[in-house]
Amino acid sequence: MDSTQLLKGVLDLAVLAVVRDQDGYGYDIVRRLRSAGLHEVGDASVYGTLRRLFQAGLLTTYVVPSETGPHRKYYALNDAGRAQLELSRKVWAEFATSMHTLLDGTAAA
Amino acid sequence: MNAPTLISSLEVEQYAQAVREALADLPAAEREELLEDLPDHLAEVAAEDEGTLRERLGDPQTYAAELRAAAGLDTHPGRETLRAALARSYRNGADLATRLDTGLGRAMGYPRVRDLARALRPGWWVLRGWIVAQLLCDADEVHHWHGLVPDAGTSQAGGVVITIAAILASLWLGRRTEHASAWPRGIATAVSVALVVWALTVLTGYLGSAATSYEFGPASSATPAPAAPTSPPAAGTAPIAPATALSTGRSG
Repeated sequence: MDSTQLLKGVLDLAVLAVVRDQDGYGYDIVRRLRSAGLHEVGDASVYGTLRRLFQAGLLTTYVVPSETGPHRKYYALNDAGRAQLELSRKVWAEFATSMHTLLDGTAAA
Repeated sequence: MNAPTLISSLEVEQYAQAVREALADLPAAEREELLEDLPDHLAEVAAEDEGTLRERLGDPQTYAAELRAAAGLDTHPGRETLRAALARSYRNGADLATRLDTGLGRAMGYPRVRDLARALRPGWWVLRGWIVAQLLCDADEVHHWHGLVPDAGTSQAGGVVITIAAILASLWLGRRTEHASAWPRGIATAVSVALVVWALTVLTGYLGSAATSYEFGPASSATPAPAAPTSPPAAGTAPIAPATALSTGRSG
């Protein structure tokens, strides 16, 4: 099974989780998702997801001036984002438990 | 170390431009928001020096499609495609017009063709007045050449007066409509187009009759007035010519 298909459904959750740990700018979030094991994640998918979560009012942004490189736009989780993350986490936990049970049961039969 | 930086910044620019084009159908504000982080992102990827942007990120169209889908802006694929095509063809047309405007204008010594057209406008007003005078003197409705200064009825002097008056009126109207609002200007344009069409019709009719009768030039002085009052003077010598002149004049 292609993990990119699975990723599509949970990318919102993954991005929210990464930003909850620490504010980050776009490429920084891409890197953190990859180092967390989501190697298949596409750069454009992450940037697009950040944009959509921001539009949905789950993230706030601020610009950090840089003396060497470009000024960077950081994304941070706000209260609505935190609430959404909590909700999605429960949905995910239930879903994952169901899948585990199903898969283990099939394996045992 | 200078050269790779230069190349990569060019690569970033080209890649970003291609992504921008692939998102051209989106409303401008939405597109700019979506592309806000792109240059920084591409610069950062390029700085890692682990292959070209295409190798790292796929081609720009795929990048754009992924960005669009993840941002949730891909909800009506069918409509988007049609809108994209329309937007693109409109933009291409506008770009081409602008390029022609500046390119041809520069070749003729003006910043834009538009500026040349503006400079030529009073000349057009004079020509327009002259066409109106020709039209006013075309009372017998057989389109033919009336001479550079048309006769009003049988009076050459009347023709001169009408021509001068029409030119002055056209100049006056031209100055007025130059600063008029949109719809009077629209009417003026429509009338001008009709005049030009009429003038071209008469001209082709005249050329047709001239070709048939092998006569050219101001007919009123070159040929004696024909016996039949409805015959065009330009076609006096050839027996078949009046009918030809009539048909070409009216069909055009």
